[in-house]
Amino acid sequence: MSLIRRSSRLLTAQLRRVQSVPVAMYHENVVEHYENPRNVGSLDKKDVSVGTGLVGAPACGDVMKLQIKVDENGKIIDAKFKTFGCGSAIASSSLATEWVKGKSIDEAGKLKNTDIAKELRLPPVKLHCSMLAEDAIKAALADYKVKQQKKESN
Amino acid sequence: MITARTFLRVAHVLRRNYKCTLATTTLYRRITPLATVTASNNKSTAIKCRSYSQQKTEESTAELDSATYDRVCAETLDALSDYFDELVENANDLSGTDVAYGDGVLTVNLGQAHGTYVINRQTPNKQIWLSSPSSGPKRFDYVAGKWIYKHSGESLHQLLQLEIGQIIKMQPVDFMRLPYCS
Repeated sequence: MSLIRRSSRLLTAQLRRVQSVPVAMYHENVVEHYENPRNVGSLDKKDVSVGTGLVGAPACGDVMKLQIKVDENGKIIDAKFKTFGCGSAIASSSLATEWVKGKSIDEAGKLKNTDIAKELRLPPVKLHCSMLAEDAIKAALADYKVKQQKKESN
Repeated sequence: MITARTFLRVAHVLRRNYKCTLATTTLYRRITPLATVTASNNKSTAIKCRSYSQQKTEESTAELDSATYDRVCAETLDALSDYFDELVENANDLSGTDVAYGDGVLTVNLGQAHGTYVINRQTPNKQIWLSSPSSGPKRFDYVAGKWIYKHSGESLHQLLQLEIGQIIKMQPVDFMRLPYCS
């Protein structure tokens, strides 16, 4: 009898300890992107119509590679990403690829990290992930422009 | 699902196989790697390093070694933490406020109406990162005795002076007397 009482007391003490740890939950939009990420993969980076943006650093814990394929009319017809990082970073880059598809390069350049953060309801400490996603898009667009200029000069 | 071990293994491979040399600070300047990993059968190692992430200028990195960065960053954050503590305690018009500082992360909650500021050290980049509920995320480098946001040239303390000054009205707000503000 006393054994049962002692073990149940131990269990409740442990449960209470676990419950007293504050828990921050990812928003369901983030979880959705993490479990069903859109547009994961790579495009051929030698293709002159593909722009590649690689941002972040492993030491910081976040690396994003975002690639866009642009047609002759300047419209983004495909986008792929690969990201190492937290759930928020993965969701931010996944959302970014979703949003740039079908946009012109000018419109894509207007995409702001604040839109991504608002859509994913990112907490303050994860706003940097959305900034990195915006940087990745800008880097991909810049790379595409450089490639186009090289093509024209040749 | 990427496990911690897989992530560490790949991070180790990436770090070992290429190191980005530093370039001057222009947004999205191409950085050439010291060693390019050429195409191999193993696709995961054949990644060319073209990084467009923000990089420090050569002169500021040459000046700022890890020990100095640690000391300056700790002093800056300590002073900010103490000052925020003081401001929040005297701000009777704000409710639901809280200031927490630990492990290089300073979290200042100014209530539901004004949001939460997170100011933290970022050792790999030797930066201080700020997340503001009104102006979003920014990264500050230590340049010439103060913390500067390279895209706009404004300093961390100037930004805080501007934004916190608009939230806390009942008392004078002066971030410019804290260390490393100018």
